Parts: sequence; structure tokens; C-alpha cells
Amino acid sequence: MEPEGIAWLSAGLCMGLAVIGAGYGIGRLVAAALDAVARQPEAQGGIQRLMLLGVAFVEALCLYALVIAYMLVGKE
Amino acid sequence: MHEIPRTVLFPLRVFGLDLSVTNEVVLLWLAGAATVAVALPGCRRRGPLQAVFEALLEFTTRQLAPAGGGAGARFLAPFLVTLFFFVLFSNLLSVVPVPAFFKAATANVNVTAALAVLVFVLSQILDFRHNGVRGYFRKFCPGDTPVWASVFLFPIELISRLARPFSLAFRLFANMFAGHAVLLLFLTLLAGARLLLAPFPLVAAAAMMFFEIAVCFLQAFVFTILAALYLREALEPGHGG
Repeated sequence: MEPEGIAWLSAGLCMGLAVIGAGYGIGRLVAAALDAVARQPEAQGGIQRLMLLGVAFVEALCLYALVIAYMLVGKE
Repeated sequence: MHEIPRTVLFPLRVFGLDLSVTNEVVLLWLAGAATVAVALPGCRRRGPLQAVFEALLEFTTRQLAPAGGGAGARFLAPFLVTLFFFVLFSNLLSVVPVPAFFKAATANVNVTAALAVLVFVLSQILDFRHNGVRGYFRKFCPGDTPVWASVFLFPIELISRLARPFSLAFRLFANMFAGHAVLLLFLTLLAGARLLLAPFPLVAAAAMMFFEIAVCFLQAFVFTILAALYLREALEPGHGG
């Protein structure tokens, strides 16, 4: 298989694997946040803020993989 | 890949550096102007506009309060609020639908890197001034770490500190760049779609647009709150020893 084919394949694999991790992480985060709000509804504002902060971290990791995928595909 | 091109409006070379005025440069100026415009009503005499600005300020500082320090770090509030609004407007200007000119200035890694370096340099300077050279290095190995552990801890801590501006820059850049690349992808799909199939990419593009706007706000917030966290940590004196 020529290198370009391998590059495209690995780009797809890269993103696929990264999103698995990110999806699981964000799912756990949101679930924990929902639990916390259920226990203490008046803390919703602070919990929501913390959740968004955590989600941004996890999402950033996934986006690093996206940029690697872009680089693999060869443009940008 | 899919990216709104960087059009050079006014070529300018200074000492061998390419400082041409591109559309991104103009967008950064617009973002700066918008930030100042938001702040100006707050500086005038008391009136309804000033109250609006104060409410905005109050809201932002309240959001940032958990990360920023207590009374000692209050002087950083104007910087952080300015940072927030600047990043926010830079992100949001990408929504304007003028073809081939408006894009997110922050979708350029150089822009986000500049902002991250700004925060990093500020935090290091504050650390040195507040804690002294000895205190600065004291913070690498907190408390009573035995000497052998310090040998391991020091490089790890050093790398982790150096990685922060990178992650800060990259997070904002990747979020803005990827979001708009996906949006342009959907629009390309829409451009090539048959009439009956057209609603699908159209709905997807519209939904993506909403999500993008939310991401603009969220990423501006995250950038600022992390900056607040790093700055507060720089101002902290090292734990005992």
C-alpha cells in the first residue's frame, strides 16, 4: 500500500481512538456532575462551571489528536 | 485543509520580518477595539451603560473567583477580564458572514501562542517578584522532600510548567481551528448537494454554527480561568520547608 493510503488510514484510526477516550472521559465527567447536582441542587452553578472546565481539558486532548490527523493527511 | 485564506491587505516588511497587514491582523484590531468599546461606558460618569458594564464585570469576576486568588490577586482582575473579552471577541468575529475575510483570529496558532506566552511571562515575572529567586525554585520541591526525591521532582516540575503555555495555546487554537474546519466541511457538502439532499448538510451546518458559538464562549472562559489559576499559583508562596 502506498504511503498516502497508510497516512489516510492512520488519520482515521487516530481520530477514532482519540474520540473513544474523550467520549468516555466526558461521559464520566458529566455523570459525576449530574450526581453532584442531584445531591445538592443549590450548588448547580459552581458544579456546572467545574464540569465545563473539566470538559475543556478532555476535549483539548481529543483535539490534539485531530491536529495530528490533519498533519497525517498532509495539508495544514 | 479547509481554512478561510489569509489575504494580505498591506504588505509590510520590517527588519526582515513579515509584518504584513493581513485580514487576521485587522480582525485582531477589531477584537481589541470591541474590548475597549465594551469597557469605555464603564469609565464614564454613572449611568445606565455604566451599570451594565459593572454588571458584566461583576459576572466575569465572580466566574473567575474560584480560580483566582483572594485579596492578594485582585490587581490581576482587570488583566483577566480584558483577556477574557479579547479572546471572546476574537473568537466571535468568526461568526460574521462576510466571505473570505472574517475568520477566528485565534484559529491561528501564532495568535494563541502569543497570548499564552503573555500569560506565561507574566506569571514567571510575578513569581520572581513576589517570592524571590530562592522562593521561585523552592516551589519546585514543596515541603520536606528528601534530596533524592528532589532530583526526580525538579525536572518533572520543570517540564510540567513549560508545558502549560503550550497546552493553553494549543487548546484554544485547536478548538477554534477544528470547529471552523468542520463547519467549512459541512458547507462544502452543502454546496455540492442535490436539491432534495440539501436540507441535511444545511441543518448540520446550522447546528454546528450554534455549537461553535458556544465553544467560542467556553474556550474564552477556559483560557481565562486557566490563566487565572496559573497566575494565582505563581503568586503563592511555597509550602513550608
